[in-house]
Amino acid sequence: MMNLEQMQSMWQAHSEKLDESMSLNNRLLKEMRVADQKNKLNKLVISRAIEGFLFIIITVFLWRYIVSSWSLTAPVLSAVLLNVFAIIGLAGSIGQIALLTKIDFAKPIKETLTDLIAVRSHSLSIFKLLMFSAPFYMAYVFLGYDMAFGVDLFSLMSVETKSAFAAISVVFGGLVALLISKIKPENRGNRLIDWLYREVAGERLTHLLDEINHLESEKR
Amino acid sequence: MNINKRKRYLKIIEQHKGIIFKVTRSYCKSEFDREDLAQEILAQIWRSLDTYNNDLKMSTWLYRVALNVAISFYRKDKSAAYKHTEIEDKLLTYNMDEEAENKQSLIKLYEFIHELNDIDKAVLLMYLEGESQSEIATHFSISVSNVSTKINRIKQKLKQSAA
Repeated sequence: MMNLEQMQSMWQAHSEKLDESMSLNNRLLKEMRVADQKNKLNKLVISRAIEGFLFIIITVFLWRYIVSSWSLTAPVLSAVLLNVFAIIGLAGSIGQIALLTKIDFAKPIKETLTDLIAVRSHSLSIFKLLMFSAPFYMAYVFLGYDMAFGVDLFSLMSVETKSAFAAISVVFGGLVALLISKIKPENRGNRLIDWLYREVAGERLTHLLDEINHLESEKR
Repeated sequence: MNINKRKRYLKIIEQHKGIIFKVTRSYCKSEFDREDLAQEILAQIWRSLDTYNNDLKMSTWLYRVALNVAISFYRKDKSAAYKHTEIEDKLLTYNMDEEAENKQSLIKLYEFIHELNDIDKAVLLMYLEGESQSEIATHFSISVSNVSTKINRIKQKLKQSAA
């Protein structure tokens, strides 16, 4: 095998040959209609817009419920709480659309990779949001009962049952907080975190994280 | 306006098609992946063309776009799935026989590039194109010492593969 300097001169000769002899299929290039092509980032913008629209519907729906049933009851407080999560989700979708529109593949490689990682981390952020809401699972139950049957379940529960559910939520909340604090790229050595990255965020994100590690690594 | 952009785009691609060939050939082993990557690069060049300014040479700018796409392009090797299929209509056609005496060395060079990770591939391609270490550092937005480390690592791998 030659050394890098020999490779460089061979590469120059190769480049010249390519310019002379390689053929470009102009018909295929014209047929590609690149301007109209829905590339992957455009598809992501559409999916984030749909997701944002769903969050808007949930927010409006909950808001209408809060206004129409306003009183200091468990279902109304549950709706307020779930509304907060829906608004955070909506803000996330809007932020993603803003990020997607500013992605520029002509920027330096590290900047492009960082932007793409932020885009591809979205499903993981949604997962974290859902996990944050999980300790408040009774909010879904209280709200559902009131909407479906017009019953304030909380007011019918005994003190013991309320205490038991509160204790479960506190323990669950602690476990969720611990898990979420561990969901970081540097913890991918842990099998559970690695599995979450692969299954929730997908191979595209793990590929980008691997590449930024290679980029920043100065190991000899 | 769009017609002018289209004419300009086709002219640029015709002039610099070699860059697309070299990047796709370096990043993908299978012809199917190469075609996919080439289409993705061409779409991104079209998308980014409006933001091109003369701060960078057109060839350097194209390299940056092509490498950014290639590094972020998630590939599933399709060679096994399409083992018995031929691509009828290729975007870029080049016969390696044109290289005559260099053909075998060139095939070995591309094989060596395939062994590198995606970032080292990009560093090597820029180095082979004659970019200085500080220029490479600017394209990557990393330090010159980091580029120097990566080039030394590539040299070591080259020695190992020769041994």
